[in-house]
Amino acid sequence: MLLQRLKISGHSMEPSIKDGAEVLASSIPFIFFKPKVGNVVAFKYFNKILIKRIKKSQSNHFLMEGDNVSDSLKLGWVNKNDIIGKVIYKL
Amino acid sequence: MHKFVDFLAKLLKEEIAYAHCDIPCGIYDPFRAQQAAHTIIRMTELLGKIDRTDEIKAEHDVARCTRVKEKHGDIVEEELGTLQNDYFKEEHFKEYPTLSDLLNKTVKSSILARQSISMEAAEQTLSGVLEIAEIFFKTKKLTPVRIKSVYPTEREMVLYK
Repeated sequence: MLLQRLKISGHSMEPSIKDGAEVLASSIPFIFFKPKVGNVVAFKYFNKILIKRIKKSQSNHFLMEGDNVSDSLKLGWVNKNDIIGKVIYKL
Repeated sequence: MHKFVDFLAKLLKEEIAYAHCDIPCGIYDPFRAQQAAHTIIRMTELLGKIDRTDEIKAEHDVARCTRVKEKHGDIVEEELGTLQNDYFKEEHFKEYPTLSDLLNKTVKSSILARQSISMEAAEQTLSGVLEIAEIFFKTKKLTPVRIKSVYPTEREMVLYK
């Protein structure tokens, strides 16, 4: 997705992104740069899109974590191919 | 600039991005918190009964019981956090005005039960968890029932009918 409007469902990114907020996410930054620790990204998880912050990176795998409650142990490592964009703007 | 981005955003199709604290599967249950709260009580009981005739064994037993108490305190806090952040919605907090305070108080009791060997804190943790479980089942349009648990704590659990 070059540019995608996403509506947030859930509280795990609070206080930075609240439940019901809308953001713009784009894959363009990751054409030029590798995702970095601290980036808030949207990624595919089974048939859903999830939004989290990158906590750690290792090669092409990224450990995701919410700002509010950590759940990365349940999610595990996310492959770079599943990252669909970086959150670039809060509407 | 903001107006342009807002205009541009309106042209884009909106999708939902899940920021749930768990995989968004909709599976929530206060059972694990109840079981953990019972474990805190049991470990607090056992810590009070440790035989001091063999001091090395006693230290070992204290370490083991404390570890389990700590771990289950974490479980209570994590499970209540999941219910608070992911399951309970604004309408639930409106319908049950004491819920938010109850969640906070119960987490504080659990922290206190971990920090100390306090049966009072352990009892308050279980009591809070049971009340939260009752509210949980009510939000599911179920009737909560308190039954005597099968655990050595001999205290209650909340199920539903």
